[in-house]
Amino acid sequence: MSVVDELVENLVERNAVRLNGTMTISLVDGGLTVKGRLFSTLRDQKKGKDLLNVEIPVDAQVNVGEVVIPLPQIR
Amino acid sequence: MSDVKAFIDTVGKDVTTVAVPRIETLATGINETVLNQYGPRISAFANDLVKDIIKDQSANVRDFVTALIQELCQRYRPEILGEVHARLAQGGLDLTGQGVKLDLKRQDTGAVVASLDIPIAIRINVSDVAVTLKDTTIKLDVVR
Repeated sequence: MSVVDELVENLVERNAVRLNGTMTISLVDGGLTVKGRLFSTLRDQKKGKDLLNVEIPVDAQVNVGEVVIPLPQIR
Repeated sequence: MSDVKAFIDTVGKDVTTVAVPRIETLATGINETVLNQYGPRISAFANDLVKDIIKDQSANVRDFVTALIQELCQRYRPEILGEVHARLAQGGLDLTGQGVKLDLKRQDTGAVVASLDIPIAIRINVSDVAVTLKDTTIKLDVVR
């Protein structure tokens, strides 16, 4: 096992990401949008200490094409 | 002439005095008889008649309707054609029919007997959805 592997392993095992925030999903012409703000905190669980705070603005649009639904046959 | 008129008036009043109560008594008697004797008999007769008609004819009507439905089902075949297009729009979902129609076809020949175009234009309003994350913890595990 390399030093990098051990480093990553330790980082992953010790740390956890806590997420807070609010997002709004809205339907718009031809798709939907996701807007909001996330607050992420990286916490060292062994030391019980917050290491990193990240504020993530979210503004995404997903395009959805027209869905064609054929009518079922009457049997 | 006035004597004749007075005479007729006097006779008329006398006849009225005697006859009217008798006619009223007769009318009351007939009325009571009709009400108490003939009325119930007519009612009972009508009731029995309706019962008999229903009893005798219900089987015929039922058989007729059943046979008619069976014949129609064997003779015709309904068919729905077309498609529905769903599209996301501002604040909702639009459903639009394209060439949607109901065809009534002959079972044996497949020929269209009647065709009904069905227009479809439906708007489903969808409100915004709010997603709230509260202390959502993401933990990673090392794959060994």
